[in-house]
Amino acid sequence: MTTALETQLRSRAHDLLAEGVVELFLGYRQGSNPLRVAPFVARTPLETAKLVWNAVCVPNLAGTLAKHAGQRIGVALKACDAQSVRELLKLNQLERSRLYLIGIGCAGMADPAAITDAAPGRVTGLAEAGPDLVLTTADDVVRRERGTLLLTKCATCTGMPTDFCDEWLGEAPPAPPAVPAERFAAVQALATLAPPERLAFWSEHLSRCTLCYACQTVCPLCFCKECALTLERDHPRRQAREPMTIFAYHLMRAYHLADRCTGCDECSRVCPEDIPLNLICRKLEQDRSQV
Amino acid sequence: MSEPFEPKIVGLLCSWCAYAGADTAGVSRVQYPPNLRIVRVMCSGRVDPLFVARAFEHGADGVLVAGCHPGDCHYLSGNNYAEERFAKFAQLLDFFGLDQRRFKLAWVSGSEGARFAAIVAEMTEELRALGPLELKVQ
Amino acid sequence: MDAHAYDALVIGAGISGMQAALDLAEKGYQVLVVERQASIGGTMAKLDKTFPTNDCAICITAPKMVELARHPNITLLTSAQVERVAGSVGHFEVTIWRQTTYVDPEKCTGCGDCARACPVEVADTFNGRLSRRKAIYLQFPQAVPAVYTIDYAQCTGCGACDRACGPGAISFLRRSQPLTVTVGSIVVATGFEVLEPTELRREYGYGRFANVLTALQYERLMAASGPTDGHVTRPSDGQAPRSIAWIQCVGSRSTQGGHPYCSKICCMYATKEALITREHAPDTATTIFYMDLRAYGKDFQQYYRRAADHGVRYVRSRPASVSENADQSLMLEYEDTLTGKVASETFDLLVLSTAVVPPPENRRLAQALGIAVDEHGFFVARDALRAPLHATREGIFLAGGAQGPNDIPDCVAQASGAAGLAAIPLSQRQRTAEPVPPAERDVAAEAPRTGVFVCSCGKNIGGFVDVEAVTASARALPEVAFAEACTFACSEDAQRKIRGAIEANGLNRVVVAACSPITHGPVFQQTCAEVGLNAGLFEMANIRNQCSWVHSSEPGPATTKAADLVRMAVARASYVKSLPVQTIEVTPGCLVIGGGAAGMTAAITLAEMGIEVVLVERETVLGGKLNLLGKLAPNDLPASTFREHLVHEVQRRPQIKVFTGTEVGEVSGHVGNFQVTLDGGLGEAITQVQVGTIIVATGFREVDLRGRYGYGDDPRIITQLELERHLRDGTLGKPRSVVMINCAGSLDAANPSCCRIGCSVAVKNARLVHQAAPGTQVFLLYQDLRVYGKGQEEAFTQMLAEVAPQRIRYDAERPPQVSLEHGRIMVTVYDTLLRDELEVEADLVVLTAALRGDGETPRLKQMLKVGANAQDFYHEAHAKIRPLDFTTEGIYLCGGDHYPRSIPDTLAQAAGAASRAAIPLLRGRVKVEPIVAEVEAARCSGCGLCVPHCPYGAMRLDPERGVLVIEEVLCKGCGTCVAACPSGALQQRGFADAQVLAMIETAWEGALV
Repeated sequence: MTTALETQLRSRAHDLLAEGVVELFLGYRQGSNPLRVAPFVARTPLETAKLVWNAVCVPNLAGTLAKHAGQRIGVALKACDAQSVRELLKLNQLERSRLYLIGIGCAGMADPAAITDAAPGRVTGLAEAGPDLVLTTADDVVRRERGTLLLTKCATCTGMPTDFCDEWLGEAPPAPPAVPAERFAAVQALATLAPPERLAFWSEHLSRCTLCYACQTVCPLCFCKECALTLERDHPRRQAREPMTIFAYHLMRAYHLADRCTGCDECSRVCPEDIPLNLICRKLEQDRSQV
Repeated sequence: MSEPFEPKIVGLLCSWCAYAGADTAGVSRVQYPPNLRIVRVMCSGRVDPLFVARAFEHGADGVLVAGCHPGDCHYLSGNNYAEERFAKFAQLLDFFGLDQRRFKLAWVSGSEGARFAAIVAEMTEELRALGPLELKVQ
Repeated sequence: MDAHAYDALVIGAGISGMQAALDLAEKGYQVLVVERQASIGGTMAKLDKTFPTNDCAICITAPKMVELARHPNITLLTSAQVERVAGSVGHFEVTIWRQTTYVDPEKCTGCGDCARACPVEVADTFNGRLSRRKAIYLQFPQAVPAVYTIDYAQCTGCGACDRACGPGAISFLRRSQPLTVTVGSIVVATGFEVLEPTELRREYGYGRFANVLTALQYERLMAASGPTDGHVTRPSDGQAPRSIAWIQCVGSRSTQGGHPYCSKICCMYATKEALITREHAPDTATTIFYMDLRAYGKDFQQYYRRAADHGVRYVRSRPASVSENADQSLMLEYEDTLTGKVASETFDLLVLSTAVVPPPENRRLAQALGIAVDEHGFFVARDALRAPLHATREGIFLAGGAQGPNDIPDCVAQASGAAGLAAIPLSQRQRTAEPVPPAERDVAAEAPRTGVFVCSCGKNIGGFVDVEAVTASARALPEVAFAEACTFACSEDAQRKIRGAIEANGLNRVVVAACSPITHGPVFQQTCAEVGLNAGLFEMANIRNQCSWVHSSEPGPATTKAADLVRMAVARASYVKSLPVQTIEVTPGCLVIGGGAAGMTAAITLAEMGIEVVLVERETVLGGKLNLLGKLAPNDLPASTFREHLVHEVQRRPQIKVFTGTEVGEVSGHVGNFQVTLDGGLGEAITQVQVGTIIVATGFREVDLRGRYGYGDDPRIITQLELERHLRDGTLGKPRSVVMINCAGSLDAANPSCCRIGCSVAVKNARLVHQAAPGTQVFLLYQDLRVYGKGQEEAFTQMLAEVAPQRIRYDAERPPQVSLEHGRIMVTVYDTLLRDELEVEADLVVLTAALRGDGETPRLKQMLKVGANAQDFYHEAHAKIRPLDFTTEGIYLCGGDHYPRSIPDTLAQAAGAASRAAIPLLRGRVKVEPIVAEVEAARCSGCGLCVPHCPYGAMRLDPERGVLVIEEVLCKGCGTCVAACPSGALQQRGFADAQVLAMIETAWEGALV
């Protein structure tokens, strides 16, 4: 089932490629199951038929975009992706003149965990019905208000940068709302702890870290050609997963992102150990807003 | 716990002011605890927070970064950048629960030998009270 | 070369003498520096902070001291004085008396064992006699040379020091000796002293009451290395004072006191002392009793306002008397001239801002040199207006406090100026070429073979640290191929052993564990270089200053720490690389922008040194402000005469190419190689020139006062510059009353600065108006009368006597009002001294307009990549010690574009800028800092985070390749950019991440405290 937005997107991508405005168009294609999508680069007008737009288009396209820097490329952007693209432009990792940015009136993406809670079992279908999402499993069809299934970052979305995209699809962007207080609720709670408790909190979580560096690999703002923090993969302390070594890695990753992190939470999404790295994103966002 | 805890401190000092201040402490024979190991850099602006993180990683209980007083930087503005960076970095240390007393940014002029010694003594004392830096997992 | 033949002699090694010596030596001339004291540094080394930036004085002096002592072209004689000068310019024969200090400077290690052994305690004159030292002593911790001296007048000859001296440096048989040398030119920079008012003004109680100090003593009290470690306490009881008063002009501006001149620096240092006192101890009440608050320099007025805002109290008064209370606090009787109130008030401490006086030594030296001093004992210039730096004998030049009170930047400017002028008689001499470095071994491919030499520094290290144990632990480190202990590593004998060990063991890294790399690093680097090891392959562990000296009571931990420091140094050594010394060739020639008094003087000075000059003037004629002025202070020389003289001097020199009616179009390149486009205007040619250095001398302008003070409404309301024209052209007429309004457009919220020269200009012009139109009543409306320079106070006093102007002091809050009523000009003003409003009818109103930098500054500063302030005055590289340099190397400034100044000051600066600009040109090559930043292009992602961190404009992004490019010649090697690079693509040679981290990571490796 194709939504109106998806149809519009395919059509615009088709035309942009056909007219030669862009050489590539970046969006998503359906993944191995209804709850999965993957970044997808359409190279011909024909390929745009594979583009999808649904409630689980979570991956941040900014990182993929940066890998194609140098080519003329169109891209469909959610608000959070757009924030990252804007940051990459500031840091000379992209050239605005080579980009064609289509802003999508994003209604927020669904949290896989919330979907599993709402519809236990393998989800075989995901559809939109007005303000609701309809989830199909082997033995049930569950209809939920979209707002109840959103990722936290989406529920407290800070909006699209103004005057940024070349065109819009879907509902025109609402004026960026005041940042909802609940966006920082978890960080605030952490801040009320005494330092030793905070250290214990992180020691506990980071003790699971295997130094797989997925958080670094996925981050759209980690643009260094080689990461200075992951260079010494073979160091015995890293091999041994020394707690202080892991701690220092995450501390420095946070520091490097301090002025850049746009809060897309990709790091925590991909963390195989479910370390709440998004808390770091919120913290950085909070510190910046206080400057 | 037979021996009292002796903290291990790494000091990253700018060559023109803080390192010269440590030299002056020596010339003036101002005594301070032997818990500091000094690394000289040309400017506090050279100190990458990575150095601090690595010091903690490699056994330091505390790290001292010291440079010229604001306005006195031999390189005009390096210390301003150091201040900016470490304000940000210190916030993150706190966020991860590292006690603020484990990291200190100080301004020491070449003539402030006694002050340099006092800073080291005070930091040593604070860290003694704080105990070793350990990541405990319950 | 004859061992006793030098190119130039510099007498005195305070900030002025050091600057002059370095400027000459940097040009390749052999300089002999003679200093009377045991250490160089002068008065500046005694100061705590410097106004208006609150820079730590010793922090900016000490590097210059070290640089001077190490300079290959400088020979330093301390504890010496000039006895006689025969011959003439180019061939002076100088007899110098070398006072013995009974200590062999070659052997003394500065360890201080002798002073600890010495039983004789005397008052420490360096600390203003507020503390005590031994009869054998080091003047201050940063003393250069760091050699102990015996104060023979106090020495009892007991020999305790001799017995305590490990290296055997002391010998009572060492004799004072005369020495005869030849030099081509001489710079006199003997500095100043401050009056100790014992005989003079007993009423202020100095010398009688314990808690009355001179301001210089107070500096020592504030100094961190002073007698009280920087804690301000009362001499009588050691308690922190709750209230402190400063009395200004003690001895100065007083004919009875014998010092009729203004001491120039006191208002600002008193302000600084009070401000910093309050910053340290905010509850201390600070009061300054002043006559006129002379905050005349760049940013001085703002500094003064800041002090007032921080609670420093200013009382306009000259206190009548001081008496001592029972608790040894001081009671001051005074009348506040602004309120008329007579009061008595008690202060815990009283500081006297006493007159700046010449060293008594000057008169004897003047005789020896055959040059003149004035009635006070300051050296006098050949021509106070046109040759302010020439002494009265050809080939001898003056700088700094030797010729009158001066603040530090003026001293430095004059010193550079004197050095530039002193270089002229030397221009035909052979200059010392850059020494050719010895051939180096290429060790890049070799595995580290490190040699470790552990010094026991007699007992200084060995007495507290087990040197053998440290050596043994070093020997156990895998990279260490050789380790040995030595008694004095810096001795010639030990150096020979080090060289031998390097060669015998094929060492390719050397670690010396001894004292500080700052003082001794270069000594050992030289040793290594002699056997082919690059300076970058040397590393030092500071086990004396950081270990034995500061952990004397804990030998165990001190030894452990020393072993750790050695291990860290060895770890670092494994990652070090040779540091290539690079130089780039310099295009001969200097571009001077601006053809006024400053630009022309700079051009002439350069041409006299034999340097090609391109002089560019925007107007169609040379002369700048000289074209607009009438007569010049101090001797009423017509400006046109002076202009013609300068223009003639410019035009008769073939080395100077003049472009009038021409603007600078574009500038690219860097020190040694600037490409400049000169634009002759519409239809005129565009010329390309290539030069090695650039001097900016674009002058200043009056601000536009239209709409204020009735300016623009009536031709009888004019500015000082317009008055000058009337005086020049004789068109003044016969005004019955002339009202001069000082600070028009200055010292207010919109423009808080003081224009510096307005008061002097008003004083001069009041007299000239009086001469042109006798019988005219002159009204002088002012806030503070800030005449400050040499002879200006006297000119002011003379003007008062001749002109008898009516002086009206007004306040910035109630500025004078100028109105036109039926063709009459009425000026109303509130007189703060009479405390009454006055109305004056004026036939002529003269506004002393605020001044600002040239209108072209915003455009030029972009092109030259230099900075300027809101008033379009350029930012010098350092307010105190680099007043003529820009932070961008190879570009210099002088004259009114830095800040308005008198003509003698302008000429001094111009000669100074010429001296600075000549250095790279005469050397022929500029050296690139070896520890510059370098980028690994393959790893650079071109994010540009580093670029704004460079204060020297040495980096930019290459838009084509998307990577960073470093202009190595501009990099000064701070490494600030490197720390801003997230990827590690950017590194600093000599301080690469790997090198620093090697130390950090081994610091506590398995160590025990």
